[in-house]
Amino acid sequence: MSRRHPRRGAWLQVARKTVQLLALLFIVYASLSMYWRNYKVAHNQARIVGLLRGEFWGQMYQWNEDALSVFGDPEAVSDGFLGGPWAARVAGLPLTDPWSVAAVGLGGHMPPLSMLLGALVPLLLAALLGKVFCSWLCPARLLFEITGAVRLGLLRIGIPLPSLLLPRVGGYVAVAGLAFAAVAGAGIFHLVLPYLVVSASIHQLVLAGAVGTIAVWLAMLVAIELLVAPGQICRSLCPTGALLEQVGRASVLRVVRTKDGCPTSCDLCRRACPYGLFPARGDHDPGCDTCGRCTPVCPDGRLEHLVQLPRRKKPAAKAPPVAATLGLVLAAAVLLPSDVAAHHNKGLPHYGYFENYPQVPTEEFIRYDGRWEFGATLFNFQGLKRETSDTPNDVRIFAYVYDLKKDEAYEGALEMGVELDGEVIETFGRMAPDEETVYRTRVTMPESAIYHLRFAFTVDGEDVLLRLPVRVDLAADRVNWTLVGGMLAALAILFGLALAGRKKKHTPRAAPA
Amino acid sequence: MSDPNSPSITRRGLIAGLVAGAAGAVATVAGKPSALAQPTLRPPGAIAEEAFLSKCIRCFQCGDICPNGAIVFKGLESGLGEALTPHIQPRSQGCTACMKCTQVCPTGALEPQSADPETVPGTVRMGVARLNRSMCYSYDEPARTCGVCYRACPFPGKAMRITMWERPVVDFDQCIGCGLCEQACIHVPQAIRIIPNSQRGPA
Repeated sequence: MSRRHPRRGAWLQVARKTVQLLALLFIVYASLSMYWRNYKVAHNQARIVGLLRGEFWGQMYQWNEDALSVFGDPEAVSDGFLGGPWAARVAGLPLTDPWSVAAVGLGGHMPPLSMLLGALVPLLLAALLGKVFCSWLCPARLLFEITGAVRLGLLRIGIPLPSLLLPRVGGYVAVAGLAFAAVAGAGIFHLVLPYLVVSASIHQLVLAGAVGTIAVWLAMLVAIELLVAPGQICRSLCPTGALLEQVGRASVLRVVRTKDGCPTSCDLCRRACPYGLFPARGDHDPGCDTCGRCTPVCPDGRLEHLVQLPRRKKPAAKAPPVAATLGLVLAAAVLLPSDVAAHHNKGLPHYGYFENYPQVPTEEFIRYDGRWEFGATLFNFQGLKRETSDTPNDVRIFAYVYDLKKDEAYEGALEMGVELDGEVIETFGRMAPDEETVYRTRVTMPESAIYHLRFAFTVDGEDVLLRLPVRVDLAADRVNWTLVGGMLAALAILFGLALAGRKKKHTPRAAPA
Repeated sequence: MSDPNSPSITRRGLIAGLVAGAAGAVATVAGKPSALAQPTLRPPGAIAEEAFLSKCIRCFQCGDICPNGAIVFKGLESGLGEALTPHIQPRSQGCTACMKCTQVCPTGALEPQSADPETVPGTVRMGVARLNRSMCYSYDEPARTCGVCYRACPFPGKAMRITMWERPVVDFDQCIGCGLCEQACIHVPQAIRIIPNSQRGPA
C-alpha cells in the first residue's frame, strides 16, 4: 500500500480548486474593474473613493492601482483584463471560445483574425491536455462542485434526493446550437453554455448592481445539479465538454490504472467521479477531464494521474467521425457565411426607476412614420398595492407628436383613440396639448394586451392618421405564477423520472471488452 | 453520487424533452410582437442593427471597459434575440466618447474608432440629439436661461452651438448621439433626447 499517491492527489485537488477560484475571480475582477476605471477617470484618488463608497472600497481602489502600477500605466494594464470564459482579454491577449467563432461565422460574418487565433488557444490546450478547461477553469464546474457538496450534506441529514443519469447528448446540443445560428443568423450558445450563464449573471450583477433575469436560468441549472441530476450538465448536456472531449482524444494528460487487480467489489473511484466514470476499468476515458478526484480515494494507490501518450492500439469506435463532423461544421461556419438575418424583438425597460421614482413610467413607446415622430409614455403605477387601488386598471397616457420636417412639436387639435384588436374602445379630443406639447389622458384598460393609440389630425389641409402600438401590462407588478409553476412542474417531472428510474432493478455493468 | 446502474432516461427521450423545452422557450419569447420595437442606442461604432445582433457574441467586454459605466446589458425580458446585448440608456448614463469599447470588441460588432476629439464628430454616429424647443426652458418666453445641455456636450461649438439666452442648437452632422445632453437635461421629460441611428426617420 502506498501513502505517496493519496497525498499527491490531495495536493492536486488543492491546486485545481485554487485555479478554479482564480478563474471565477477573474470574471468578478474584470467586471468590477469597470468601477475602478470609472473612479480612476473621474477622481483619480483613493481618498475620494473612500468618501464616496466607504473606506473599504477606497482601500481596494488603492491596492488595485498599486498592483497594476507594477506592470506599467495602471489604466492601460487594467484595460487588458476583460470579459469571461466566452471571450476574454487576459493581460491584453484576446481569447475566444470556439463556439463564439462558430456563432459569428454561421451568423454570416467573417470573424476577425484575432478572434480565430484566440479560439485556437483553447483548442490547442484541449488537444494537448484534454478537458482541462472543464476541470481547472470552468466556473460552472466550480459552482456544481459546491452544489455537489451541499447535496452530500442534504443526503447526510436524510433528505432523499434522486440521482438521475442523463444520456450524453452534448454533441446533439452543439449541432442544434449551430443549426440555430445558421437559421436565425445569431448564436444561441451564450444562453445555453453553463459557464456563460454564470459569467453573464456575474457581469449583470456587478455592472448593473442588480440581479439580472439571466439569473433565473442560472438558478434552474443549480436546481438541476443540486436536486435532480448531479454532474449531468457537464457530463451529458454541455456542448463544450463534448467538443473538448473530441479534440482531446489524443491528449497526453490522463488518469491511468497503473496496477492491475482491482477487487470486483470496489467502486470507490466511480463514486468519486463527478461524471460517474469508472477509472478502475483501466483505460483513460475520453470523457474524463482529469480532475483527479478519483486518484486519492483508491485505497491501493492503483490510479495515477499522469502525463502519458495515448496508446495507439485502440482507436475509439465512433469518435473520429464525430470529431470530423464537428470540425467540418466549424470550418463551414467560417467559410460559408450565410445571409439569414436575425429576428429581433425588444422592449426597453423603463429607465431610472429608482432615481425617477414618483414618475415611474411603466413603458415608453416611440415610432417614426414619414415626417412624424410620435410617442407615448404610459404610467400604470397604482400605489404600492394594486389590489387596494380603486382604479387598478387605470393607465395614464402622455402622448406627443413631433414634426420632423418642420423640426417642432405638433401642437394643434388632436383626436386620439385607443384601439384593441382593430376596435376603437375609447376616444378623446383636444384642441391643444394639455401641458407644453404633451396630450394627456387617463383610460381604464379592460385587460393586459397590445393596444394601438390612434392620433388623427389635420395639418396643411392634409389628414394624418398615425397608429402607435403600445403594451399595457396590468400584471407587471405581480409574480408570474405560470412561470414559477412551469419551472416547478419541469422539476417535478424530472424528479418523477428519477424516482421511477431508482425502482428499476440494478443490473451489474458488463465487463469492458 | 450518480448511479450508473440506473439509466432511467433514454437518449431519445432526453433529446425530445430538450427539443420540446427549447421550442417552448422560443415560442414564449418569440410571442413578443416586434411592433413594440423600441429604439435602442447601441455603443459607438455599432454596425447596422440586424448585423449587430448576429455579430455580437455577448461577451460583456465593452461593458467591462467602459470607464463611464454607460454600457449596460439587456436581460431575458428583451427577448432571446436581444438578451445580453449592450446598449446605452442616456438618461441614466451617457457615453464619454473614449471609444475604448470599439477597440476591445472581439468580433467587430463595434467597429474600431479613433478617440481623437478632432475627428470623432462627423465620423462616429450612434444617434442624434433632437431638441423639443417647446419643452426647453431656454426657449420659453420669457426665456429661463438654462444651458445645461451645452455644458454637458463633449463637442461644444461643433455638435452643439448656443445662441442668445443659452438656447441650444444641435448640428445634426456633427452630433454623435453620446447622450450626455439628455442625461444632463433638467426638464422632465427631457427636452433634448437622442434618436438612435436605427430609428432616425427621414427629416
